[in-house]
Amino acid sequence: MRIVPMAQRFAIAAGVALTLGACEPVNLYVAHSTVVGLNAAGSLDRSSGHLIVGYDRHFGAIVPKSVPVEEGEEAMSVLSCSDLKVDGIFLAGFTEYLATGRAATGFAKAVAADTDPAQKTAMDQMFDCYVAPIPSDQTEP
Amino acid sequence: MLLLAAALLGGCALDNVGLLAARVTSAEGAWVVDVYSAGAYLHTRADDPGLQLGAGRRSYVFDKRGEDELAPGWHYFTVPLPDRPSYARDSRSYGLDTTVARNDLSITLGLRATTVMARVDADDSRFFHLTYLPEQPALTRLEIFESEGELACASCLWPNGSPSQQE
Repeated sequence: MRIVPMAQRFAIAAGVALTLGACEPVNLYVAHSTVVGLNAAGSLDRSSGHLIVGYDRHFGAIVPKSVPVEEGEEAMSVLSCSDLKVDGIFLAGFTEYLATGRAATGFAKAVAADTDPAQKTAMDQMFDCYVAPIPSDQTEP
Repeated sequence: MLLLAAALLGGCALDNVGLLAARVTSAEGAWVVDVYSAGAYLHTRADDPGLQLGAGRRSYVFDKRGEDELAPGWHYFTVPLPDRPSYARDSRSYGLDTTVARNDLSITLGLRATTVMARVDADDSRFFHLTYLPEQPALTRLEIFESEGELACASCLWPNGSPSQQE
């Protein structure tokens, strides 16, 4: 059996770690995209890519799955609710509530701890997109 | 070659200087900066890096830190872009468009419309409500809930004290 020298093993391990690390998302990313024509795209965060000829539309979110916390690492805490309005091939607008990190966990704890029914209902509905409709609904004649 | 010729004829711009026109809109809690370009436009902002050859509009939503921070209205050749990440951005490009962000590496020939609704660092703690219509920037509304203390009174976040607005 061939024994791999220590330096070589270290280099392989470092390479694998770097490769995996390069694929690790460092941002919460929520986006919509429409393409008409020729599009080639990739994402280090998702280690994926595509080639489009013609028309395509995407909506997606990338959530980091390894964030340092007090007890080690865990997925990024996110509370989000988005309401999108589309006009033809374009995104006409959106409204969103977004909480991340300590704000998200703090909010979740507050919802769980609150005993006042009215307050609890209000907090439960905080992330209901329909709480605040997109203003175009109200401004259109 | 045709695109390159068109880009050179159209002009060029780098970040916030060059053949650009920008409209700054003061909205509720936010500034919206729409940047219009024609020709070659190299933009190196951390939240929107790339190169565009053709025509397009790139819009950014920033939190408002003062009424006098930006001057609403049209600006030409220099764009007053705050030096901080945007809360959201929208772009429409016609021609050749490249982006070089780690979560969006792409090259497009034709039309590309992109709306980034959130881009938050993994270790960042944020809590906000954003409404944004790219074609109607004046209707933009950004509410940032800063302190954890505010979380104790979520119902206070609505002007009328009640979140029930939906039929």
